[in-house]
Amino acid sequence: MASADFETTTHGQEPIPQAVKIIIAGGFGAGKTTMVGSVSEIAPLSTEEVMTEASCGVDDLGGLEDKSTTTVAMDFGRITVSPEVVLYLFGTPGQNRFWFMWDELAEGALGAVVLADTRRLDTCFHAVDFFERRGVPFVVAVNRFEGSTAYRTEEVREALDVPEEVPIVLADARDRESSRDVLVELVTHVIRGRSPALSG
Amino acid sequence: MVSSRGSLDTAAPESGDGRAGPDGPPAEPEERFLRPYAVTAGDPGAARAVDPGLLDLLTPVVAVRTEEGEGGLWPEREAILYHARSPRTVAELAARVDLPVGQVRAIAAGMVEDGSLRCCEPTRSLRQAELLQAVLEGLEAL
Repeated sequence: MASADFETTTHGQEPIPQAVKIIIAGGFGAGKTTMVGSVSEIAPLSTEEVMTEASCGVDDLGGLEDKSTTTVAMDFGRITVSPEVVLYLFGTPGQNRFWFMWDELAEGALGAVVLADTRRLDTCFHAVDFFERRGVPFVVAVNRFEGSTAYRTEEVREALDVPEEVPIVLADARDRESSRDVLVELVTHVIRGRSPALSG
Repeated sequence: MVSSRGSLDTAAPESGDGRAGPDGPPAEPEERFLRPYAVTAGDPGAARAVDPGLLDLLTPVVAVRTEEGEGGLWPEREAILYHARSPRTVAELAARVDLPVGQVRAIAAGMVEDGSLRCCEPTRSLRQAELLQAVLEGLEAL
């Protein structure tokens, strides 16, 4: 890890970039897959499946009448940010029964985006709790759904009970630039949080 | 609705009352009961003795040999070798071979163990501050 001059591989001519990850979290149906897809340079690996009737009894679909599929495993996208660094975006499994995967995803992550759906704000409480407990820096992105009430970020902050230093931004997960801006906000937040401990 | 017309109306998943009917068990759900991990369970070189935790989702791996030889009985291993001709992260490998990540990780861990694959290190390891700066600049340039 510390040593920079490892033996090159048999394919030594091809530089191997360093891979980092950011987690896109949030409740079931909050738009995680959409956000990953909107900024990824590759079609996201997605293990979405059409929901069966049986799972309707398990997953809370209130306010999600149009949603017919959900991520049942995990999906990710990729952004080559420089020749040396590749950023992966991992969407967390939205349903509670896949919580066991979160620990691994959080391991070594630069930070996280918690996507909030104001129609069902309580569905992202778990994510906020999780990242606070794990000490993973995060921002809250309020995904604007049509038909949802327009809340001010301060109202969301109060409802989620997150401290002032955690940025809360409005976003449209379908929009590439909007999603990009959320990621920029997160990385800026992470850098800001590190600066007291670092001289530079 | 319960008549023959209901079964033709595939565009309306709402008509789920067909579920209660004695006939017409939907063909699709049966596929769901196939456990994808059955593949690794049958592969002596894979999950059995090897800790998949050896490999992180973002660990780049590269093929050490190009053909499986005797291991050719395992198309998943062939596919992994093929797609790992250039270094790829485990997560991307899973995308390329179109198998669940957990399964690919288990098989790949076994292949690292038996020498078919090798874990790579980044050409240059950046410090956290440099990484963050690179990510920030890269995102802003999108």
